Amino acid sequence: MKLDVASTCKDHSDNNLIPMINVVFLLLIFFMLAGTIRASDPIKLKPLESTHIQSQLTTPAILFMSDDGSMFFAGKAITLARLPLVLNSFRSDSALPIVTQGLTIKVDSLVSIRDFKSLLTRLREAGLQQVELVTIRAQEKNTAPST
Amino acid sequence: MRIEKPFNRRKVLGLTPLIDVVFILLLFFMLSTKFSQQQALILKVPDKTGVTKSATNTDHLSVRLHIDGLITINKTTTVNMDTLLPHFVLRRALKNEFAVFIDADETVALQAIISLSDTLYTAGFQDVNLRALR
Repeated sequence: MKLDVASTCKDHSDNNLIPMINVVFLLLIFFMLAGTIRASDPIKLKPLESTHIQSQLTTPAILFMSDDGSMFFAGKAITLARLPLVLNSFRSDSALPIVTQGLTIKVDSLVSIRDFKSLLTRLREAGLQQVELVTIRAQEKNTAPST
Repeated sequence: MRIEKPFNRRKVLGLTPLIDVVFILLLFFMLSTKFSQQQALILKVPDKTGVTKSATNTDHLSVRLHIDGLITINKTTTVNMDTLLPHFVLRRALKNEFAVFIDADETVALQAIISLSDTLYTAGFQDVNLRALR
């Protein structure tokens, strides 16, 4: 018996792509459901790790601080000295719901406590009473501090 | 004149444009999706005077983290990282100290402070603060 395989394949040449399309669709669904889409950080940071979850992020305005002390807020590089001024002008001009009680800050894990306290001093001058510190989930075994 | 009816051939849609679009979508989601879940740690901004309103001077625990990794508690007891959690758990069980104030040497990384506060939360302390600014 002779089978005419060649003519059958020619007629339906896309049929052999269907398994690949299935896999690609599954990958697409996985990435759509499993991850979250958010803007990239303006500077490269190694985020703080914490096992203690207090809340989810609430304020959309994020202040970034790298380990060398450079800071970004609302897409612009700012200095520590100008921070209270920038925050106050941003608060009065912008429609973003930055509240007087808090601000979200994302700090590199290698920032020294001296630089961080300087930042908090400026935030206190700007009238802020608490901040939301961005962290990612750490493993439970890493609870002991390592300087 | 005889007009021929057009031959009613059923067109088969090609899958190639669909695959192109799906690949572009897949690339977009692969490149823009982030899997790390960000969370917030609430931190009260300390003032220049010292303790926050939630605690008085008599019932708080003062913890200082040194650059060599040692931790001084209330300026009297020094513990290392291995004995940190059992010490805090014991202290929490024996005394009624409900507020903790953390301070550190100036060059200590902030991650060490966060890890220390994690240990304190694990030991049962609820009110963990950063020591006053100078």
